[in-house]
Amino acid sequence: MSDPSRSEALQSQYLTVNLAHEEYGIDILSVREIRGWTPVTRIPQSPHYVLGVLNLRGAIVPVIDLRLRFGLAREEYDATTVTVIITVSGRQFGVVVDGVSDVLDVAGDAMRPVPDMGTTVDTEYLKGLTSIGDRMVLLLDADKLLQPQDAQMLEAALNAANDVKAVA
Amino acid sequence: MSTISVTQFHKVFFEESLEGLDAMETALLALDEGGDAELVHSIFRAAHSIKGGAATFGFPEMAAFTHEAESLLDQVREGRRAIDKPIIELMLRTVDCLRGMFERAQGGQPLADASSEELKRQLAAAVGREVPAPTAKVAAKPAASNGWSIKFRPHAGMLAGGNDPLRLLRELAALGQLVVEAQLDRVPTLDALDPSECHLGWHLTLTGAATREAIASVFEWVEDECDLSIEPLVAAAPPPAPAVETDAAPAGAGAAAGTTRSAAASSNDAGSVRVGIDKIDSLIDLVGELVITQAMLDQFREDFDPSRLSMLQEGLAQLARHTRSLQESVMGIRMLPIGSVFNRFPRLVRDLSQKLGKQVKLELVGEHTELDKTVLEKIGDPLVHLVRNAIDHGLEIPEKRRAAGKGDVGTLRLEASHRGGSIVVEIVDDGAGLNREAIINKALQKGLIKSAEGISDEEVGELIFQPGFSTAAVTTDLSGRGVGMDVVRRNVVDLGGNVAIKSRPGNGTTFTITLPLTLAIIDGLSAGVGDECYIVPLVSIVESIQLPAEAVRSVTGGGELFRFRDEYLPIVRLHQQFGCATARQKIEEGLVIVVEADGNRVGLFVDELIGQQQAVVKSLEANYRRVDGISGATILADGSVALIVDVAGIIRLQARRKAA
Repeated sequence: MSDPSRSEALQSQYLTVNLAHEEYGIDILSVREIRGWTPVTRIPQSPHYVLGVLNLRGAIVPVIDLRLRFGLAREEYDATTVTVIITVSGRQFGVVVDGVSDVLDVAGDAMRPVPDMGTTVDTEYLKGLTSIGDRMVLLLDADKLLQPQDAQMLEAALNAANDVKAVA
Repeated sequence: MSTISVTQFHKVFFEESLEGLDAMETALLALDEGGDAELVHSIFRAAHSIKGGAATFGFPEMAAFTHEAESLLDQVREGRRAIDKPIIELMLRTVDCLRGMFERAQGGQPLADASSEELKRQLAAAVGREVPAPTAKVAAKPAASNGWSIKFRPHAGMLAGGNDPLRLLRELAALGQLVVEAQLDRVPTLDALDPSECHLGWHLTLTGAATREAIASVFEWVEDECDLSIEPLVAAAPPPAPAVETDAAPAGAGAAAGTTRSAAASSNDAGSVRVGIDKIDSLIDLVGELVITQAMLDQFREDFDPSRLSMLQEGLAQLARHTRSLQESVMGIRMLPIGSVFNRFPRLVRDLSQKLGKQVKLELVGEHTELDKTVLEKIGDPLVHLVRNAIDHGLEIPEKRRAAGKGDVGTLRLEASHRGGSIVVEIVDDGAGLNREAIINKALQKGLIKSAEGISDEEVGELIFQPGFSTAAVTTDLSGRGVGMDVVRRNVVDLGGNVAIKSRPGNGTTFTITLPLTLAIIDGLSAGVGDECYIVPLVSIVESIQLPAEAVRSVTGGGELFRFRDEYLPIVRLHQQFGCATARQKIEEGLVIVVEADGNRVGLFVDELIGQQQAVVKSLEANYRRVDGISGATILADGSVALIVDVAGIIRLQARRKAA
């Protein structure tokens, strides 16, 4: 949120992606690249929505399925399935979506707060919504998708378990 | 000239000066043990370049401070005074103080503090004690006058020497409030004016607490090229000469300075590496070869006919060879001798043993053993801790040693060596060994163990690595605060190594630190589990075997054991550990890889072995997080990602499961 380009009055651009007949917007400044779906390497002990890691020119990048993240049914991956690589606070991760459609200009004052219901998605991951003609676009809060904080919590819990471990 | 900022050279200056300080320290310690006079010259040279650099790069306090040290050294160098213990002690503290100044300079903080001013007085006093002439200098205390009148008239040729009066004035202005009055009387008429000469002079009034030395040091480089007079503004009465007290150093100062220093140093370890020209040259040669090979292969793209297949194969083989040597050379750049870490110990051991009234002989072995730079930077603190512990807890005072039938002088040996794919650093002392009683009592008290019955020596050793564990009766500033061995172990484990302890009651303790040669590339065996591929580091593999179904015993609680030579080892089914759905379930259909870490062995059950390969270790944490049982990831030849098995982690998980 410290990014000045996101301040209210400014116009920002969003990449819109399709997911289960709804349209979501991802802040274009955090989008690094869009690539076709390629198989990933599964990582043990990961949440179900983390599909695995892929090799992005030498960097190991985790990939999450946005459908699974939002508790939707898993869809078979096909020719239009894409992985959007997102960089948030220095970390990169990939997001698998049904397809990408468009780039939208959204003025700061065109962004509405999310009503507390009515979507299939937990409102926690949304920072607002906007409408273009009769289309409604839900704007995603990319920071919250991978949720490093629950990774850290898990790690802290494991470390605590280590320390408690009896010696004998 | 004034537009060029000197700050861009600061980093180099700091680096060189810190090296100079290291050299000074080493030479001083050698002198302490009766080295020759040549050492004094090298100490003097180091001090002189630091002084010069400090003045040039705008650190007048540092220059003034070093100037005092240099004056003292000058007297020694010219044989006007003998080098004795108090002087060495004083110079060692000077080195510490300068290190502190460099640190503050890097952090952009004011350089001088109370202790440096005090030390400067002591240095000045030491200089003045035997040479009466510069007592005026001694009198020039910070508080002695509230200002200076400076008459500065450069000779006509000063500019030709590259000296910029503007810089001098700016430096003076940093010392206090400066009033500048230019003297234009010698400026010739325009037709007679030679612009390459300096025609101006200045009357400067500096108010503030600056010392004469500080001012003089500003003019250090132009002394011979100008007429200079520095007079106190008001004729202040010289303060009483300070007590000449050069020894009696505050005992804890050295050790305390040591800790803060290492803390600050580790916070900014992006740093740079100095690489030998020979290493660079060999890299250039290799790249040259690579280019030639590439050009040769390029020909085939133009016109290829099957008759030249053998040439193509040869070219590819050459490419593989060159790539491999290039990789080795590049890794070599990151390798530095461990001596740079060992070097700090003579001083540490000297200070500590003096303070504790113990006699310690330090032996350093294998200083040329090369270690990855990252490992090297992070191993310093754990080593310091172990050395301190060895001197504080391990080695006894002379009386006790005599009572135990040992010589007065305890021996502490630091030894580094290559062993297989790892570097082993041993810290060996011939002290009393671990105090089994005290450790068990403490552990009982802390509730770490339930009873003292049947605790093996290894387990006792293991206890001291528990968080918050300390048996020291009295908390000193050296050790006994209960942070320690667990941090040492954690640091080493973070580097992919481990620490082991072996105690011989009455004969001493040995700490063995095993570190990976490099963090960046490992040799691994790729193993298939289901449709996935995992890399098992080759260094931890003992052997791989195929077991018949009847060789495996199930034990209560769901574990499985098999007999390997003379022992029963638990089986870790990798597919269960990592949750692979499609893997083989029957023991006789797969393979068991016997792996070892920290002296423990387990059998990893996998489907098949795919092959041996080098794996460039990539971090999972950079973009994701740590995963239990996985130490990192690597990229396979087909571009896909394979995970690297953390053998030590899996064994720990297994042990934990057993305990649960």
